[in-house]
Amino acid sequence: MRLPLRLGQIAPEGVTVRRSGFRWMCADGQLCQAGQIIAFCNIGLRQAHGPGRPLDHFADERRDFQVAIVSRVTGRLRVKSGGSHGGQLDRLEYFLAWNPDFVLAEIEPEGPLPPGLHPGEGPSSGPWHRTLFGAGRRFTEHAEVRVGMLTGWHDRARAWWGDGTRVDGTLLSMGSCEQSALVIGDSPAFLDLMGQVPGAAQVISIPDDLLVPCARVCLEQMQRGPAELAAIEADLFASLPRGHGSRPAADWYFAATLLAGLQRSPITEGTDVLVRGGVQRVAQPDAIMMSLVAEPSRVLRHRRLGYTLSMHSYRLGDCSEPMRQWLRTSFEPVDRDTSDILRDWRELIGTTRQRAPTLFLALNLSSSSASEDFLNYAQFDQPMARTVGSVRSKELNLMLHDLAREPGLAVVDTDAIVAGLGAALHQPDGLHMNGTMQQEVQREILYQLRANGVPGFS
Amino acid sequence: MLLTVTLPMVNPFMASGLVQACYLAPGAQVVPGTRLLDFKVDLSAALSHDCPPISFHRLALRERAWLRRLLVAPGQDVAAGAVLALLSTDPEESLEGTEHRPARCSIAGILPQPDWWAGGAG
Repeated sequence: MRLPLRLGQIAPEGVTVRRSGFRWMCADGQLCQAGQIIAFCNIGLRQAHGPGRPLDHFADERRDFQVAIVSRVTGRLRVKSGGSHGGQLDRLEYFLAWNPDFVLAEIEPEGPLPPGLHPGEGPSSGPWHRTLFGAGRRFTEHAEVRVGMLTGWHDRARAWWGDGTRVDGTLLSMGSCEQSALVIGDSPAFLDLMGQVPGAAQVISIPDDLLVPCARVCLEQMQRGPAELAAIEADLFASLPRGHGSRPAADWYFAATLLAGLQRSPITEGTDVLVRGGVQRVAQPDAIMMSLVAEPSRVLRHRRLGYTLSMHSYRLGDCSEPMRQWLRTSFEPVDRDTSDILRDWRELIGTTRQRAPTLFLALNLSSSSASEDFLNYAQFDQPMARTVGSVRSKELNLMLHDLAREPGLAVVDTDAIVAGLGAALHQPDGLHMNGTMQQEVQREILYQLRANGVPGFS
Repeated sequence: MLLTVTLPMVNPFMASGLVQACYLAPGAQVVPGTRLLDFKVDLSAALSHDCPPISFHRLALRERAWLRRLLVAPGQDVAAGAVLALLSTDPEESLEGTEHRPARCSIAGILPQPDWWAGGAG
């Protein structure tokens, strides 16, 4: 028995789909597992009539717009000819037409078929794959890294299941590196997470290059208007060091990345998704995941314009001295206690939920440290949370626990997960997780989404 | 009894620590909880990645003694395991004695505020 993997219709009437050749993630004759990506390609959407202009919907993602074929069946793959051409023809999206009837490959099933599906003809005869879309918005269009699925330097990367007529729910994840790794996972196109989602869901990841998405920064992004943005731009252009650094190009990248972060608002900007019913607009995510890791004890505030800049201080190590000097003179450091962070979270949740009933998921902090063994707190000045990392973590975790009594927030208790697994092996530096812990936290994220009734994930 | 304080290995990849602050001068009496010094562990050179492994620590004493010699100063990069200080249980005890043991110390991870503008962790 051979089950055909027919590409199927992915775009509405009036839209032409072009594609690259497919790149295989599973070779001919190999056993592929249900839930595994078999192949992916780049696609481009154009208007079917007139000169065939690209669709406006995905204009800022058009160079990294991809689709993956995910098997629903475990079985032996039999590749058909014509799906792949190798070289750049498998990377550039305009050489081939997307033919819905094209059979990319066949699968000889080994093991039971998915419930409700039977070989043969009729509505229960497939499809034998799920269609996973991926789209990356590049920080800059010349950051060309088409080596895989959703590879490249993206200020926003996202994936969604496109099998149905709509996407029911969207999770927006904004955080520093450990959270991005958690969401993106170890497989292409967020598949570690998406593969556990049976519904029609979208996951979006916003990295911390260069702005770290703490609550205050996200709130200001939502509230910043054109006049404030213009003032920031004018100040940046007027203040930037010119020609004094040994690496001016690196400084300009730094400044441009900073400005790009200040200009966008991931919570309110919305996304378009391609589904079998057409292009659907998602105005605001149904759930937003953030982390206390992204809440630094110190942020920078612009002395004249008042906006907040949160970034990892190690980024400064990559700046020239003139750029560091500009930051020192233009910004003042602002230390933040637990009460300040609580106020920011409460305000962000309240402001966001005035627009829609969004659920916030908060990853807490690992509050134990393998390198600590002190028994006496006398060596520390009060308040100790300003000095001792583990005390600060515990205070912030308690704050989150209290805040979760209010509507709109659920806690993903990474502190408990790492305590159960063992920090030395699974999160040795208290921050970066191994695969086992990532999987455990992913499971908890999905549990919280389901338990709180977030559509698409339930 | 002479007591020695050495730079502890807080990370298996650590080769050295940068002394950031010293809180005591020779002759000072220490009690459990007395802070001795802060140091920074920067593994960036050996384990370079985009999120550099830099951490800050405080070394404190866990027993009563007198600080006799402080062998390091702020800004000094010290090899892991190197002797940082000599203490004695008797303030007048000769430092030429051969009977010695490691001082009982404790380590805490601290927040790196003073180093922020220099581009440290945080």
